[in-house]
Amino acid sequence: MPKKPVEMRSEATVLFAGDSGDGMQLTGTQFTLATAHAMNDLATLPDFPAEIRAPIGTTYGVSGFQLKFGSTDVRTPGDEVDLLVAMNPAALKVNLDRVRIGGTILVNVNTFDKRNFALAHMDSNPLEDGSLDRFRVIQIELTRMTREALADTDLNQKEIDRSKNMFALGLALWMYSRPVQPAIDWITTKFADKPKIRDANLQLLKKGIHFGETTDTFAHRIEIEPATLKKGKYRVIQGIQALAMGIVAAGQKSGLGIFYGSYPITPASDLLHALSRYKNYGVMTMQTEDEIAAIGAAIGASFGGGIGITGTSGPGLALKSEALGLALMLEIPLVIVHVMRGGPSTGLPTKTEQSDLMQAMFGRNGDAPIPVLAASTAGDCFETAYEACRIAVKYMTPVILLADGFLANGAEPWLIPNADSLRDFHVEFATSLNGERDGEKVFLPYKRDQKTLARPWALPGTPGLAHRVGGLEKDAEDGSVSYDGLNHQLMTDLRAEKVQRVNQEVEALKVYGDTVGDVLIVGWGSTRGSIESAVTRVRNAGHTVGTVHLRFLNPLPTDLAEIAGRYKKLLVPELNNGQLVSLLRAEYLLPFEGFSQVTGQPFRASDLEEKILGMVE
Amino acid sequence: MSENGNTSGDSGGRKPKLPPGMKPTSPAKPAKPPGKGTRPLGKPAMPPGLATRPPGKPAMPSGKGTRPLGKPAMPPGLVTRPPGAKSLPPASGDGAPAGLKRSDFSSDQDVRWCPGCGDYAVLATTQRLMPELGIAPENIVFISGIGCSSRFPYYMNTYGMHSIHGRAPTIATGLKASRPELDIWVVTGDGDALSIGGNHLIHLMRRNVNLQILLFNNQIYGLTKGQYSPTSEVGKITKSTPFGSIDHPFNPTALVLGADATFVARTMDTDPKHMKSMFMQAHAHGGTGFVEIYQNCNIFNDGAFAAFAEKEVRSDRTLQLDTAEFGEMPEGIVMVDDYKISPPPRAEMKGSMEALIHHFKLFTEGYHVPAGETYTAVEAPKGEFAVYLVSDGTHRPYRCYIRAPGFVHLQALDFMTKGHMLADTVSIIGSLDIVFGEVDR
Repeated sequence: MPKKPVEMRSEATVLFAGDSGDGMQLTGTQFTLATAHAMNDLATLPDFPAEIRAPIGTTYGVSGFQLKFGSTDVRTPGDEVDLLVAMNPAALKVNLDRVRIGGTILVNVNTFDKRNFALAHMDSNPLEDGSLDRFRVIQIELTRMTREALADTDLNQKEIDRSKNMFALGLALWMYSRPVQPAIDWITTKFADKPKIRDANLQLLKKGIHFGETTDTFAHRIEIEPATLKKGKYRVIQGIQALAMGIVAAGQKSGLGIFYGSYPITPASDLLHALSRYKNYGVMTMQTEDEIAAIGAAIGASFGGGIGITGTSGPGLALKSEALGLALMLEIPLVIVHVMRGGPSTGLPTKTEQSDLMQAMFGRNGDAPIPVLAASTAGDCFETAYEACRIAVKYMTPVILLADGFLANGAEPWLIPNADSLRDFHVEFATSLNGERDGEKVFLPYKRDQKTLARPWALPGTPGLAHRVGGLEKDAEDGSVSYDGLNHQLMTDLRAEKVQRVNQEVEALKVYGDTVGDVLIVGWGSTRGSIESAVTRVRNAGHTVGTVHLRFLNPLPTDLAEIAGRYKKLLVPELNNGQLVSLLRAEYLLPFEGFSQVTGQPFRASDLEEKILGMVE
Repeated sequence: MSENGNTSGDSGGRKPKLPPGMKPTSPAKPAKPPGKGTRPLGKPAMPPGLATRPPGKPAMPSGKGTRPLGKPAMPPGLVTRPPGAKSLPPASGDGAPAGLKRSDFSSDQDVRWCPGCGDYAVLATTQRLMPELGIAPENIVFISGIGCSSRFPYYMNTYGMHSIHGRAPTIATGLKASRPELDIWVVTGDGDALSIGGNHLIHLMRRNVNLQILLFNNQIYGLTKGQYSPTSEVGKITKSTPFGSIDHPFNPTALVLGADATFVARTMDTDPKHMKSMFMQAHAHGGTGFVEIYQNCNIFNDGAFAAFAEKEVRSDRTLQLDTAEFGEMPEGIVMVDDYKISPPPRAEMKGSMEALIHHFKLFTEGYHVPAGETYTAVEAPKGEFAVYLVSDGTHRPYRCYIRAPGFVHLQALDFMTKGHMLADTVSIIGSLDIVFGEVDR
């Protein structure tokens, strides 16, 4: 059989959508893996409901996995979808507005019946009523073909139907000329002890590929050339995995034990899962009885001389806030990885948002400043996690690291860094007396390092340095309880100044785009890809705009004011109702303009582009 | 709840503030150090029923008979689950300097509890115990929550952390998990451990982390100046419950047993010797050693445990159950193998003529009690219930008197009726609720 012709493209966006039980996340992940093997740059957006198995066929049970890949720099999971794979009418209904006009929609036509229309609250069959006229619709009898292909096996009907995503995966891999071997390897390993399931999956995967090859539906397949990324060893990485690896790297580089205490919460649970596999690197994880116990145990571990880390999402940060205040008062290292999600309260557990910035900055009783860092890409999660640990130890302070659901679950190719390129992480514990009182040598647990204002870290077990710490205000030197007003003033000032001194660690901001011009966009967190894509487009349209992306939100970088002065207008896009913009206005007294979106989805580069164009024209 | 109870008037920061109602007689140093002066420290008399019994040999036919009838007022309970609990090396196991003294464990901080507080006794007992454990001070960590008792770590010259309300078990767990060689003590109170930190307490028990937890139970919130606590009795009148509390109190011991605690003990501030023994055994236990301490708050809940904790009544109203008697009990049925006292097993009777005769004698005639007399009293619903028995060495009592509560009450009639009309006698008898049937036994 002659091979079908190939059409070359520079990029494509694919969205797999179906019931939460249809295996769409798995299909998407395998497609991503194949794409990474094809050496394309990529970005992903898993988008799933909070319900684990919502009623079949309903719109609120739709789970999706979006992936953009290309031969050029891919910064976002894509604004518009080129191929939508819809496993049922509900999946089509929910995702139709994401599909590019002229794009392809592949539907499992077996599910397009009255019952499913009713479940998705559709009045008519979209395949017949003309509503899909602007798209190229491919109807495939996925359920029927799957059943026929596996008719001879002794799998039951349920097992057979659950395998149909493999057919879809095979077909999609064929359509975009992806390598099949990674998926075959994965299936072989995953179902090694279930040979029947393994064989059925492999058979269906191949059926999907053969179907693409033989059917008349497809005149050609699409190929996307490998991206020209910097030379080196790459892997696909999700933000959450990068966070875990950054933490492990910090433990290895510093020689300190890592203790991670956590209570299951979406989407931060994945960090507990990831870290629990690194026992061989001295990582200790503990699933605690609640959020408070998680941070409490981490504080205990830090008191003992490890790096205590806790992770959470959404309302979990509120529960930890009292203990966070304690860690700040004790002045011991602690890292809180906060994977933000839609709020307030339980909010939108599986959707992304950046709305906990103010809480991270101020959400404690008393004047309680804490360094706040935010990661900007999946790969950047590694470096930011490492930095958070390093600063926590160097400055003897709790540090909040902000990530979000999109960042945590999204994936991208990541150039694996060399361990030697990581910043120095040297730790010194107190071992000797450091002061004098009444002519006698004593240990002063709050006598600070002059450069960092960090207090000495004396571990239990160190002879002669036994001391007591606690949540009550401390005397500025000897650390005993003090209710003295002037001492409290001094300690409050010292705690604030210590956080400002973290600026010694901050590298100069790098401007992406024009360094002087009409508009400066100031971003933070996971919006980096969307912002930089939009800036590129606006510059291509002939305007001078630039963007800086903040990793440090507390302390704010010292060079931002100078950079902001070189532009006519200032824009702060955020996935919240305007939090960083308030902070920046208050800090720099400059007319920063906000641009907010709280739809549970990342920014579309095109929306930002439109906004920026509106400011320059 | 927070630290607000103790800070309001503290301006200088060096002087402890006295709670309301206290005379500022010695502001710099709160009263006497614990234990010695005000509270009796004497050796506790053995509780009734145990005193006369030679150790190791049951005097009564079976284990059951040795326990007093009825429910003892407040048994200081002690339960251990795993018999193989490891004990720590007796001295200088980890390079502890020999010859440590109690004073080596006192920090330079002034103790700021109210004069007369039961906390002093616990602090003193702990400081006395420490040198005996043979652990260097730097390897010991005290972690507390919030409350009066949670100031404890400041007074111990060891590593310590005064943390936040209810969360000490979480911090201790994290520390122990990452530094298992440290000797960790959690100090908490009834509000701290059972109210705001209740969840952490039961999970600490469930995990059986190898540390000690000392729960100071004074049945009141002291630091916030006198609200009812989760162990306060129903009907308790406090500032926050002017019409009486409607909440049923926790029984901390039952609570932790429900959470599968592996070492549970209860002691009281008036009995430092017993307390020290309990701390020692909790420390020797290879899991979480839980010790509840009945501790008197002489400001807001004075005398909460006086009914059985005070020296005058303690021997009558407490029963100490200790591992020495119950801990090392072998598995299976415990019964004397003297067939003149306890019947032989049924299976043995099928083959042994001796056994059959013993059985027959025991169930037709009974066992012979050695000649002598005994008077045993227990607490009963309306007062003290006592039995006086005299044996002449046969299988039947030579004499038996029963002194029921009504017998004592009836004697009050004479005094109460004086100056009243004769017709009132019936009502007075009624108010005493006398059962005449039991009086003349």
